[in-house]
This record gives sequence, C-alpha cells and structure tokens, in this order.
Amino acid sequence: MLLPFDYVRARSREEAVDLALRAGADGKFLAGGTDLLVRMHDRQLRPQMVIDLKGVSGLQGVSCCDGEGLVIGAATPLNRLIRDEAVRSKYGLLAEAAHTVGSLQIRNRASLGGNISNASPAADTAPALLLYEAEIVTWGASGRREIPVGEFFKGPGATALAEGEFVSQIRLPVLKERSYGVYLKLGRTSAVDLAIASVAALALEGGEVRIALGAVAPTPIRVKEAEAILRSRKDEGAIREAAAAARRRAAPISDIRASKEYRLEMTEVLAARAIEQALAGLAAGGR
Amino acid sequence: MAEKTTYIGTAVVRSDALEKVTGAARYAGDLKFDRMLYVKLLRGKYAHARLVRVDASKARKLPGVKAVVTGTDFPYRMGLYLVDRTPYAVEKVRYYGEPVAGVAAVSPEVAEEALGLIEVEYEELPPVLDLLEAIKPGSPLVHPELHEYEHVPAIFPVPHTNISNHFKIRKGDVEKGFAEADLIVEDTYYVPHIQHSPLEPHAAVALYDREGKLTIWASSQSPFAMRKILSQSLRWPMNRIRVIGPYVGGGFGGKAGLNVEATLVPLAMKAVGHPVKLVCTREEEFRDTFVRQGMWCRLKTGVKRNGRITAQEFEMYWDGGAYTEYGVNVTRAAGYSSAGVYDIPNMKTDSYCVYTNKPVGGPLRGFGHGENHWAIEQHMDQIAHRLGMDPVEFRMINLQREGSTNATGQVLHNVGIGKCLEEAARLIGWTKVTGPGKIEPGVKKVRAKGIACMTKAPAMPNDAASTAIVKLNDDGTVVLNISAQELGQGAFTVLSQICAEELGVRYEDIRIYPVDTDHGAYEWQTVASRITYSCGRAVMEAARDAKRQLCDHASRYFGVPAGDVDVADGRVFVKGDPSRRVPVATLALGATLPDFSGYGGPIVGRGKFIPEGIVAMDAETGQSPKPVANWTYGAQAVEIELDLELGKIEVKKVAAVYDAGRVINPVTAAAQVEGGVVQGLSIGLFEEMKFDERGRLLNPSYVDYKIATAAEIPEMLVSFVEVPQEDGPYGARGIGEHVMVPTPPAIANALFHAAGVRVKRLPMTSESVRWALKQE
Repeated sequence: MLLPFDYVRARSREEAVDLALRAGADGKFLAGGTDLLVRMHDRQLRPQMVIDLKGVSGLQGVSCCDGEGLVIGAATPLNRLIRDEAVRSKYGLLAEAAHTVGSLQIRNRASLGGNISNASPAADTAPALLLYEAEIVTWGASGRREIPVGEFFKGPGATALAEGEFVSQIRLPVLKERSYGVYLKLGRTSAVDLAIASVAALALEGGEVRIALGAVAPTPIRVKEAEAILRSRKDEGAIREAAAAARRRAAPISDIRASKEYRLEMTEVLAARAIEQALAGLAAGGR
Repeated sequence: MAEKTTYIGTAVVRSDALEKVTGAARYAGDLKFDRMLYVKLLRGKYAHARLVRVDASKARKLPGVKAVVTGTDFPYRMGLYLVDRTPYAVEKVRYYGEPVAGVAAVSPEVAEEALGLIEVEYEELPPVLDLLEAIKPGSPLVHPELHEYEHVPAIFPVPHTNISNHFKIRKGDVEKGFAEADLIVEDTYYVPHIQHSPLEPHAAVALYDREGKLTIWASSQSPFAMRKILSQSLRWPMNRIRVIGPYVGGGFGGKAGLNVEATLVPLAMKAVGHPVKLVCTREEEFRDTFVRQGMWCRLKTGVKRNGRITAQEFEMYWDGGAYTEYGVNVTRAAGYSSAGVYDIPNMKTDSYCVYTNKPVGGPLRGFGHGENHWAIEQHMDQIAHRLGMDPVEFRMINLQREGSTNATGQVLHNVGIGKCLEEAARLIGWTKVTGPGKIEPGVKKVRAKGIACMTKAPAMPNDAASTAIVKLNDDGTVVLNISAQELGQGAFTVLSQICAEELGVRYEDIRIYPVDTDHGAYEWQTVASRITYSCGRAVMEAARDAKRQLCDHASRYFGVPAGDVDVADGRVFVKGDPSRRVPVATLALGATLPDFSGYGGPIVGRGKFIPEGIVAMDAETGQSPKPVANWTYGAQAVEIELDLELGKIEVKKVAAVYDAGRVINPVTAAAQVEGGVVQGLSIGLFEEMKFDERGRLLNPSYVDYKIATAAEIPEMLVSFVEVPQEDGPYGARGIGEHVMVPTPPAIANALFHAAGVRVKRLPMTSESVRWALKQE
C-alpha cells in the first residue's frame, strides 16, 4: 500500500529542479514509475513529494539532427524507442536491448531515462549506451550538464546526478560508419526477467569492436581490454581471448538469481557469442 | 465409440467465455458492501518464537478501527484431516509470517496504521528448518501437543515427534524381492517448496449479522468443506454458516479447504453487521496461503536382467511446515501411488509428513504425485540404462495391465497406460535409446527426447459425494444447481453439456449460478480432478430424473404411453410422429390436459453420486481391494534443446497422452492438458521458494520466483486414449491434475539422453545443469 505523498506535475525543467531542491531527500522524480512505484509500495522509498517529469518539454520523443546523431527525451517510453525508425536503422543495439526490459506493458511506461537513473547494474539499456558513447544531458541547480555515460554510473543505485538534478535527454553521437550490434541477456526465463549476466558487442566497419557487460559488476561496464585484443585480430583465438578478458573485468556477486561463479562463466560464454554474432552481422551488411 | 450423442464429445463454446472476456465475471475481490471494513493481518517476525506479550490496546483506540483480534481471542483449532491449526498464533508463532493479530478498519490505510501500533514481544525459540534434522530424536518439537490433536482415521501421527503422519505400504516380501534381483539401483531425489501462482490471490468477505449468522464470500474451491470445518471447530450448527463462492480465478489446490477465511471470522464476530474483507497481497499469497511442501526421498529398486522389477523400497520425507492439517493427506496420496504405473510384486513404502517452521504445506494440483513421480520416473530411466535397455521398452515390461496389482494390492482392470505410452512415443517420434548421447567436440547445442508416465487417484475421503438439482423454468430454460466451482477449468461448460445431453434441451438454455451452501446442492470440494467424474454423474442422474417427469407430462398431454415420447433440442415429441411436438416450456410447470385441468407440476430433477465400494487401506500395510475411486493414466514425451555452454534447457515439443475415459469437450480437455504441460515445465525448470537460515522466504514475488512465460511454451501434441471408467459419466474420468505430473521427469530424462547428466533436485535451472555438465 502507498503512503500519502504530494504529486506535482512539473511544467518546466526549472520548476522541476526547483521543486526537487526544496523537497531535498524527500523528493523523487517520476517518469514511467515502473521502478519508483514498486519501491514505494514496498516502503523501500517513502518520498513526501513525487515530481512528474513527463510534461517537461524536450523529455519526450526521439529527434534526429543531421550529422549530429540522435537525441532521445529521457521520459520517452521504451516501446516508443523500440519502434522508432531512426533508432532501429542506426542504433539497433539500443532498440534490441530496450526490448528485453520487463514485459510489453512495462515497456509502455518505463522510460530510457528512468532505466539509467535507477542505476541497476543490470539495466538492460546501459551496455548499448556505453557502446554508442552516449552523452547524458542533465538539468540541475547549476543548469545543463553533459555527462559521458561512462562517468554516469557510480555504483548500484548511484549515479553522477547531484541533488535536484535529473536526466533530460540522452544524446547518441553520430555513427558515420556501418555497424552491427548484438545484446545477449541471460535470464532465468527467456522473457520478463532480470539479467543474470548480459553482454553487448558492437562491430564497426572501421574494424573496431566494442564490448560492454551488464549485471556482473557494481555498474554496467565497458571492457576496453577486450576491445584492444580485437583491434587487429578477429579470428577465433582472438574472440576467445577477448571473452576471457571480459571475464577478468567482471566482478559479480552471488545472489538469489545466480552464483558469482556462474556469472563469471556466463560472461565469457556470452561475450564470445556476442562478438561472433556482431562480426557476422557486420559481414552480412550491418546497419 | 459409444452411442450417438449431441453434446458429449463436442467442442461447445465455454459457458463463461463471454463474461470473462468482457470483464463482467465477478470474483470475490470485486465484492463491495455497505458498511464494509478492510482487514489487514499482523504477521510474525520469527520462524519459531514464544509470544511473550501481544498488546493491541493502542491499535484499538485508533479512530476508524472497528475490531482487533489476537490469538487468545479465538483459540480454536481447525483442520480438514488433522485439527492442528489456529487462525491466529496462540502462545507461539510457528513460521515467519504467521498471523499474530488482525485489524478491521474503515480503510486499508487505517488498518495498516493500526498494525503498526500493536506491540508484540517475542522470545525466539530454536527453529526447525531442516527436514532431516526434524525427524531426529531430540529435535525441538513444532507441536509438542500433537498427541492431543483430533484427526481422521486415515492419518497416523507419531506422538512426541515432528511426524504428523506416517503412511506405510507393506506388499509382498521386499527382502525376498531384492534377493531375487540381478541389479539393485538406489538414488535420492528432492523437490523444493513451490507456489500455485493463481492469477487471482485469495480474497474473502465475512459478515456476522445480528441474528448470529456467519456469511462468507470467498475465492474458494471448497465452500462446503469450509462450512464443515468451521462448524466442527466452533461447534455451531451448519445452518448458522453460509458460504458463497463466486468465480475463482485459478485455484490449483491452493484454495481448497479452509484458508485465510478463518482469520476473518473473529473480526466479523466483533464487528457485528459489518462485512469484513481481506484480499491477500502477492507476498501473502506466496507465503501465507498453502504451499506445495518440499520432499526428499530415497528410492531403491531391484530388477532382473530381463527387465522385470522384483522389489521397491521407497522412503519419502515431506517438509510439511508449521501446520499439516491438509499436508498429511499429501503424504498419504504419495504413499498409495508409490508404485507409479508399474506392477511391482514386493513393496515397502514409508511416507512421513514432518512438521517444520516453514509455511503451511497443502494441496497443489496432483499433490503427492508430481513429487513422487519426479523420483519414480527418473529412476525407471536410470534402471533401463543400467540394463542397457530402451526406457520405453523397459517400461512396457513393467507397466500395470489387466490383472496387475498396484502398491495397495488392488487388482487393476481396463488399464490404459500401455496405449498412452505407445501413443506418446509415436507422437514425439521416439527412436530406441540405450544411453546418453555422445557430445561431439565443438558442439554447443544438442537435442534429445525423454519420456515419463504417470498415474494418479483422487486423494479424498471414501464418502466424497456430489449432488445436482435440475430446475425447469416456465419458458423451458434450465437452472442447473450444482456446487462445483468454476476455477477456469471449464466445469460449468462440461456439466452443462452433460445436462443438455441427458435432458434434451439446448446447451445455451442451461445456467449455473455461483455456489451458495444455503441454497445449492451439496458438493464435497472442487479438487482431485473429480468434478467431471463425480458431479458429472450427479448431473446425469438429475437430468434423467427431470426428463422422466417431462415425459410423464408429455405422456398425459399427448395421450400416449411414456415410452413413446422423447425430448430433443428443447422439444418434447411423440416418437415417429413429428407433427405431435411441443416446446419444453409447454410442459415445464406441468401439463394442461384437453379438458384444461392441470397435471404434474413444476419439474425438479434430483441426482446424487458417491463412489461406491472404496475400502479403507489397512493401517499397517496400506493394502485394500479398492483404496480409491479411480486411477487416471497418462504419458508425456518431450524433446529438448540443451545449450551446453549456458546449461539452459529449452523444451521444444511435448507429446501428452491421457486416458480420459471419454472426452466430454475436446477443446477444454486439450486446454487442460496444455495448461498442465506448461505448469509442469515451469515447475521443472524454474520454480522454487527459497528460505534463509532464519526461515524467511526470500522470493515472495515474481521478480525472483520465476514461472514459465509465453516465450517458454513449446509445441504441444495432445491426444487422448478412451478406456471407459466404469462408474464415470459416459466413461469419463478426471485429468485436470494429472497433466502436469510427468513433465519434469520427462525433461530430466531428455537431459540425460542429451548429455549424460541428471539434476535430481528440482528445478533444473541453467546454473544447476551447467554445474552438472562440468562435473561430467
């Protein structure tokens, strides 16, 4: 059961920040609410004020600026993202990853900004954002900031956001070359589950292969050591070495979903598969 | 195939389909009344603790609170088979989550706030959490008073221990049997606690009125059994208790007997004239309603080189939880069916129900059988492989057939398992297997097939009965008054089909209304796959009785002998003379004769059924010439794809064949099978309640208690064998529970064929399979 709280629908970025600063620790931003409401029901969170961001301008939808990549409003529901032609054609890995979040009904509400602000180590969209080298646009007391996604996650549930600050947009830099991305998520069931381990791989026409991991460290992480191995060689041996490097970077925990040992092994298995499939996808034409 | 029928064997549309797809169907949670209060329960914070002090005085003073009760206010023990359970903890809490107090208030928010004002002081006691420790001498006792508890004669508690039932089979001479064997195979198996996961959580409303009458509206499989338990425990005449049962949104056994409803009774009695309502949260649904108890077992079988089984020794230990009022019967069911589908001349079975400080064990779809078949059906494959025989061939040698005896010594007739097994093997494309598949280096995924059989009998008292009343309305439409529950299984549809067939009216003209113990025909419980079989027979008889009356009216009306008239498609007619016919309406309230005088009167047909000739099993040997009403057999074959690196099993295809005796509705029957297969698959691969070292449930939500999703549903080939059940309607017998029993062992057997490994502990998660593969 929910405890009483004030619900305020912010009309502008400035108002949202102002309300949040005044509420302090008792305030919470709301987009889709699929994480927030569950925690409020369970009394893990007891905010006095919930500030709805969905009406703030610039927080909805996907806009494409020529030569400048893609700008995604933070409150854009995942299903809208998944169906967006610009996302699908150029940033397919993000659409694929977003599609593995929760269920269809959840994805009608859950937002991209919420998925990353929640900062779960298992956030499904995070590895894709790491590989596209997204910039996280935020608004706070000191106005607008751009934070590289690699510096955004600080630990389980912890981000670079300051008090009163929220994510307003996610900017994906332009990707001039062809690419092919693969997101492999191992859950207990094939759908509607949290990742035990996940690996994203993005093969770029220029020869670069980028790799990121989810659910096997305090934050989603990019594995440059594995990427370095694949810079010059892409044979079976190199893939194996890169997968082993991914495993070495993983620092998972044991919990109710899986043991640390299983997560480590699966990181290596999934990494090898993701790299192989990404390379094969690129060879077959890419996106 | 039997005589020509109109509705039997026909895929009529479900009678509740429209109501349910439009959302018009009403469930207990939908009910709202004037002056209604909301109930919240305070739940214990220890697995085992003495209640030193429970002080609810502050809660009572909170504005909006109308009633507060604690255990000492209502210390009545209740139970269907063993009377060991109080609605609220008295003196001790025996599992983490047991109700300590209840509050009824004007809003759920006030009720919740009041819970926070109740002060409880505990003195922690050593919890009994390990099943095998609990049976050791010197273990702390969960119920030191066990020897004082009342129970039905078929239950055998062991006083001053944690064993609340010890069921025994002693058949033939096992020592001699093992001495004759060329090979003895022994192994252990485990099933964890699981939950039913109904769509609709438990919900109930209770009203105690100024005349002293208690009315309960509940999401229940057992309105009549609930009335009986309350009446016995409170020593109230049954006419002071009325139970009304709207549609049930899934039961699977979890809504059998008396459940959360008991906690409402004392609150209703304190808040006279106020209906008090409780809807369980999902967390409560997981932990505080019945769970399927865990079970650890050891199975040992002796076999000749030619494949014939000579002896079996089976020990089962059930993790019964804090109260085993219903769980004791699970233990018994698993005992009497411990031969599975096999003819075993010498048997020794010991099935122990053990108290632990865990959630309360109770019935879950096919109880006892899903658990013991997990062991038996893997064991059969293990023996076959040790003998170098194909598992289907090995089973064929040992299957029960005409004249065989089962564990209870019952001599069997018309046994359909051979046909089921053959057909399941054919549908899956079985080819002879004589051992684990060889995995070629570099291969990452392998496919393999596995098979398992099952049999189950309804676990119920010998006198579990049904009645039916068929009332004709003025216009010839029909009220079918029965008290079977529609749980989603299609009972109302099938019973209406039987009524229409026998009475000669249109299926669409028959209505069944929600169960009401004051006005409805008696029904024991909607459990044990017994409704089509038992209630179906009562309906058949009631419809025939009504038809006899109709024909009597017609005989006078047309002036012909009663044997010369018949009823079909809602019309009464003189046989062979199509011009002489009238709608049923003309004769429903009686016949108006040519001189305008009346004859007969409104038609009410009456029918009843009790399975006859069931003889109690011997207390020491479990032997009986007819221990149960009937046995239903079936077989399932599966094809899996195993991802060797991940350890992940994907079930690609399932062939399921059951001996339904006679299929009344092919679509609802197939749907039952499909639902059962998916539930079986889910139990096989995903489901497990996990507890910490203090007995707290770690996964009381679907975040971490996983059930199969639509993405896991395999291709399903469903087929029926029809060997008639002697006393079933048109030869029909129940299949509702059976259909999920053999899925897990069939998958386990396929896993062995794929990679030569077994996970003898459910569920077969990717991680557990991966470790098994690594050990290999």
